[in-house]
Amino acid sequence: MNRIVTRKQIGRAIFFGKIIAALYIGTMAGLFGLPLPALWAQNEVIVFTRPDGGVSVVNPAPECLAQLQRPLGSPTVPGQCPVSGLTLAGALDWIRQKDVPANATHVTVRDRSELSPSRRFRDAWRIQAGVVHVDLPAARVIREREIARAIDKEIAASAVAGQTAWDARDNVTATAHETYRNALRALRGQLATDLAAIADLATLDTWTPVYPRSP
Amino acid sequence: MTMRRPIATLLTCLLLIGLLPTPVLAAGACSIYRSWNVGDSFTAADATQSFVTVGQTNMIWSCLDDYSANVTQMQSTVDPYPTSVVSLATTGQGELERLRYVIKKLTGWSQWYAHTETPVFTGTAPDGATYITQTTNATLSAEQSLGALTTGLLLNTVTVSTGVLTAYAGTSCTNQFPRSLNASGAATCASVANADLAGSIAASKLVGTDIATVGTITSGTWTGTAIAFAQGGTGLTTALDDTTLVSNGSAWVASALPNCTAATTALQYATASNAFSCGTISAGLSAASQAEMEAATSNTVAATPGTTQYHPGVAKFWGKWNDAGSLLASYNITSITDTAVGDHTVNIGTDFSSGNYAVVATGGTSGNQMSISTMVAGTVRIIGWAGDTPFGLADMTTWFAVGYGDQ
Repeated sequence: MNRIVTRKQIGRAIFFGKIIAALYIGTMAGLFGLPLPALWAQNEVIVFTRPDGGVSVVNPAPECLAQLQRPLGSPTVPGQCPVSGLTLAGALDWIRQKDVPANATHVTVRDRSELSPSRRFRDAWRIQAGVVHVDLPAARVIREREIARAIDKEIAASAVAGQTAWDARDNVTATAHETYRNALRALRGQLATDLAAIADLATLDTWTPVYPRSP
Repeated sequence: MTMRRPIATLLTCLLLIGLLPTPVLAAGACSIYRSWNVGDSFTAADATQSFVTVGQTNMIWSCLDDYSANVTQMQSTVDPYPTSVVSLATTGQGELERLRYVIKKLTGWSQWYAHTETPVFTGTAPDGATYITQTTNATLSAEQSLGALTTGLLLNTVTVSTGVLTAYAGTSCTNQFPRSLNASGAATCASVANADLAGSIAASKLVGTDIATVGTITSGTWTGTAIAFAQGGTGLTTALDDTTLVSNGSAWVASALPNCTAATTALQYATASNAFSCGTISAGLSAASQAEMEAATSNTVAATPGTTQYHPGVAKFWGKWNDAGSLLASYNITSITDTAVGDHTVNIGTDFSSGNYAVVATGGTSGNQMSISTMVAGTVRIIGWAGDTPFGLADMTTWFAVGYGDQ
């Protein structure tokens, strides 16, 4: 069963996720004396859109953020960011100016919890209205590539097995492999059509084609 | 010879003339007017003068003859008032004897002239006078008897110029002292207050040599002698400039501090003499500069934490991060840019001097491969490849990268 997750539902989940994360981090910081700004800052990332439409995520180094937020005039630690006295926002802006390319667009600071933990559709991330979401058409292409790669591997394996059968004068097996490969090629050719029918990421994430029976 | 005889005759005649009786005139007090011889003429003037001499000139006490010709007469007295009746004297003797009697009676002497004896007066005092007596005397009518009062202190009150004695028991002050007395002699007890002790206590007021217990001294100025070492003091009364106290084992001594401000001098201390002096610092290794660290050739300077990273053999950055680009540990990395699957960029904090440096990268996913893509002074792009066929970009569960070069 396909289930469509609306953007509103995603936003609500992100909202409550941030609250839970904030409570957890605050508690841990209180119990173990962790530097809250630095710990919290690890969840802050800078996202932007590249000229090719893809999304890049800049992950600030905690050591650098801590250095940037030390009291003004603190001794500079060799090899660390050579500025101090900044707020968290200021530190993130300092990193943005240094590490985000000039041709970037939609540059914004987001909480990491807003980003999908799954890397499967990472290359389909897009920024719309300041929110990172997965572009479904692009995700279909990724999924199609994955399946096609698996089919190609299976075709290659079948070709080896069929050749081995031919070499052994096993025409039945060799013919079965050829038939099998043809079915795989047909399946591959049908992929785009099948994936275009999938309307939500969850289904896309778990969908697999019906593979022909291997000889 | 003829002349000597008439002269001797003459002298003899003169002598005889001198031996013939002639009337003699008396002269001075108590003397008779003159003595008379038979055949002397007696004139009226002689008669007058004779009586004047007897009745006036010689009629004075110093010319009268004494009465006490012997001891008996000397001791003779007559009571001038026997049985309270006047006994009139009939002679000067009688007058004297009555006066003698009174003197002897008044003095109690054995004889009226025995003044070396202790006089014994006899008789009684007046009964109505105001006396202060020890014991009550019934004869006295206006006495104040101390024996009639209770034991205590005497209090004198005066009313119309008359003093009246009374006794009062006093006031007992336990661990206090009588601060004041009222008109009736009653005392007001009080403890010693701080105000009673205000001011300086003269040395003459301090009795004894030890103060066993003291309280807290909250103010005041110490003007005593120096507190000895054995009593916890320094034993010193002066603070010489640029000195410090050191112990020689039995006392504190002020040891002078020399001026060792030169860059190559250091303060030295000799335990034997408790003296300070300036020593010379031996030339040591200085910290290497960035240029010296980058040259990596000097053996006369020392690498220090602040410049070690400039040595060409030292990593200029390193980092460990996950597939999402979150750094787990790093050095000289500002951030990791997660561009896409298998495509991460390391953003370096202090950039290299150019894009010519070395990067070693590896991943935590078995079978995958990594390669270094674009390298500029401040960033290096690292690509992860899937290990299977066909090759495609692939994430690593963990990414590692280290960079060496010139900054």
